[in-house]
Amino acid sequence: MADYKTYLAASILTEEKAITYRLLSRALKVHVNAAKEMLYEFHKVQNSKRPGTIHATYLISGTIRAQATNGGAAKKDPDGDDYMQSSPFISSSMPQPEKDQRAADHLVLSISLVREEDLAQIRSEYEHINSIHVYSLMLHPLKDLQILSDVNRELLDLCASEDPLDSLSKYGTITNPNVRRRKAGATRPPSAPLPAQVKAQPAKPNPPEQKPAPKKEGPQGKPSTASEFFGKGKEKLKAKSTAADNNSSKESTPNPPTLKRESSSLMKSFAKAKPKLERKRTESSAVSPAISAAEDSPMKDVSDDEEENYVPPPSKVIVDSNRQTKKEKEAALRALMDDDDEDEPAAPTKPEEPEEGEEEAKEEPEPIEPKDEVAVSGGRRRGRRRVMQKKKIKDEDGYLGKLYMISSHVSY
Amino acid sequence: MAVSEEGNLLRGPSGDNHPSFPRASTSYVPQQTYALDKEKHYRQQFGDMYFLRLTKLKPAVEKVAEEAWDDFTIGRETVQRVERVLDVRQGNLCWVIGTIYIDMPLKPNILDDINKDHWISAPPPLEKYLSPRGEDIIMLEDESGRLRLIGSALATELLVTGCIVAVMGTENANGDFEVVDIKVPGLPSQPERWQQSSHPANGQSKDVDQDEDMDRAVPLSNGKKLAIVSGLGFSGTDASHSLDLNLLTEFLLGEALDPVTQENVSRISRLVIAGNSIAPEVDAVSHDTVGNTRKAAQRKYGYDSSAYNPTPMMHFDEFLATLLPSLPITLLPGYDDPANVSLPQQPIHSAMFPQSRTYGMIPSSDGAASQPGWLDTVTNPWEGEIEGWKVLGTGGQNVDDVYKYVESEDRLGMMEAMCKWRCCAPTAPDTLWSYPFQDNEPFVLNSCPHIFFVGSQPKFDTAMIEGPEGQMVRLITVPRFAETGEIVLVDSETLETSVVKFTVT
Repeated sequence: MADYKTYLAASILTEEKAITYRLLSRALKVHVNAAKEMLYEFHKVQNSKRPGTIHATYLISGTIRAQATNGGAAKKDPDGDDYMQSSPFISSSMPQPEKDQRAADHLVLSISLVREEDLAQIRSEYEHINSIHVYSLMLHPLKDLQILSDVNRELLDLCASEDPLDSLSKYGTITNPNVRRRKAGATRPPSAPLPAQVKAQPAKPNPPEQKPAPKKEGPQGKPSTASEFFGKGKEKLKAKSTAADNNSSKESTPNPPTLKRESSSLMKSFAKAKPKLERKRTESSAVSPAISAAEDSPMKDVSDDEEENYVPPPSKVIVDSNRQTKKEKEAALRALMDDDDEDEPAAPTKPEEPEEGEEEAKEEPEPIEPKDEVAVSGGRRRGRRRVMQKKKIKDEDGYLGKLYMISSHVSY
Repeated sequence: MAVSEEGNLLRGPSGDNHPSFPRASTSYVPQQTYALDKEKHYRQQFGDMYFLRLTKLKPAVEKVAEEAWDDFTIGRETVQRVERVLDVRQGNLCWVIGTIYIDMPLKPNILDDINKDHWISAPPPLEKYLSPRGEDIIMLEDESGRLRLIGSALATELLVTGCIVAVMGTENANGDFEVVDIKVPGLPSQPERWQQSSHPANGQSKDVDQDEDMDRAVPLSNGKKLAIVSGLGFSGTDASHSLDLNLLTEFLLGEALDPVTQENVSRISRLVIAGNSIAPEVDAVSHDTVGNTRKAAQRKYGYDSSAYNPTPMMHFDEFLATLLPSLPITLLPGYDDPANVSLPQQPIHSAMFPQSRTYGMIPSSDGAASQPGWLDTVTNPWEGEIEGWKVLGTGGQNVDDVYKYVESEDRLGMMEAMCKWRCCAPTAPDTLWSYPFQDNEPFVLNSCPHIFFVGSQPKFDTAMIEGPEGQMVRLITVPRFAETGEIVLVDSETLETSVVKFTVT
């Protein structure tokens, strides 16, 4: 049971993430109610060591006092009160029963999510509180609570590999014995890459209970400038420096996670794209035909591209909240590159290999790896950037293989 | 202020065995009353709908009117029944049945579309068609002709275009019909509970009937609830209520709050989403109000995929997929949803839900009647039987449109009037877009529902109305969740309603 402290300390204090009880329950595979208690305990212990280190939000349910409940009625009341005040005889008694009637007319169960700071005030508005628990913990106080909805988005990714029907009771969700679902051939095309990613993260210095996937990016989670990270030289340097922090290394999947786009305007994307386009031209003139052919081939699968297109343009709130996590994601990306290098340690470290043919083949793609391509032809393709990475891999037996990494996204 | 002991989860890990509750189930029989054929034709005239409606409802009004006005005399004159509107003779006291038509200068006019090309900027959309200077003309029409109605009796009765009424009065020298009294069809007869579905508890129908009577007398709640939500408003640009939606999910899944609340939530046996799950796109709205979508269309040929933002639908799909393992859902489309815009709106296509469609209807292989889908995408309006109660629900367009015709702000009153007109969308096809029905007018209510809910309304309200034959109808206006954070719970035995309100401060 003490494991949760390690997890919470790592996530909240080190990574400065917001942790909700649901996320905790999914990460540790415990009942949500247990997770609520863990959050409370952690909050209490940490703040008793140093007050004000961790900020909590609470979820309260119950009935709110009559004055506070009826937003609509409250608007009317001032008029009524004014009117009544001119005739003081009834003023004290009249509005009261009306309100009571309204409240009695329909029972309202109010559920409020409040910051620690506002808790006392909101509590006083409640007539009766049915239940209260810690909803989330975070290192910094939240200006806009809506940011917490991103945490729930993360949760979706975390659970993507699980069959929801099996995991319900584990987390204390209400189970339904009558649920009907199509079985065979139940495909979920858009979310297909996600489970694969989850599986692809086994090796970590984390404690075993710590589920790796909270690190995982949601579809919106990638920095828009991801292509820059494919610049390999500086990357390796950085990767080494950050390797310690970054405990979730990712292996490359043939279809890397969709990249996040900042809400940038069309003009902006053009401004960015132009110089790169030129660079590409100069580069591609030097590229062997085989490589350019390889570049071209992915252009054909328009339908795939279309799906990639549909990555949601993130809301502003999300962008804000992701600013923090961006760093981690950069690190993850770098680690991803790092892994690839480790796959074939021979290539970069021993350039002086005797076989010349191989040597050349190896050398050639290296300089062009950081490659941005902008297809400007055709209105619909405008602004799509295609980042392609090519790798020559030699395995222990000396066989050569090619590894393509293609990711594309559009900015409009 | 006082927190009950059990509800307080502000405590250290207790290591207790936390319970997980099974969800209660209710019987559910959706009906296909408003489903259209796969092949739809739009070349017919709309006029047939009015005649169908008049033919269907004439006997009902006739009965009411005959009872009320039999041997009714003013002075020495006895009221005569007149078959057709054109047969009304000046000076004769008579009554006649027809369809109300209200001519309103502010009502959208098809000829405006031609004018539109000459507009510099379009007038803003109107909240009410009602003319402030009283230029509206109320008329009664049938297949023979029209008759202008005047008189103070009109002011006391809620009237909109398309409702079938009987009027009694006399034609004056101007050719106008001075109305003395108006009769509407009144509530249709109400089926017994458990008409379509069989009572789950005991098979013997006689016993059931007795139980029913007992229940009627003292309805006992078994705590089972039906949740109705409307106007979820998933948006691609506006994230201001995304956490409220999360709280709603957690609440319905029984993850939020304490074990006592969680157990109560486990008795919510079905979620009905009454329209407008997707927020209107801001751009799209400005287009619509200007009414000049044509210009954009002229420039671009074919489908412009860049104009489509899939994010709201994706989030909505995720929302459904999260809830579905635990909770069956009935999904009605609304005005802003990706379905056809004219009533009856057809179910949102399952291709819109890549994740949750696995819970959709399972096609039966051996020709047997297939069960309704766990995620049941249905029509708007929709009719079905939940736990034996006949339920009628709409996405809200019908009430919103009637609202434009009348001075009243009382939306429950309009719903009650609809029940009494026996027509759940009287203003279709005049100002409410509708499919041009030829052989059947499905908006006419053949039987009285037990629950009539309407989505996307400004605030929650509810009432129980009673008919002369003992009909009891629970009327509910379901507020827009995106604005109010409220969902409505209906008890499946007593039909009592309560509200759950989510706030994020």
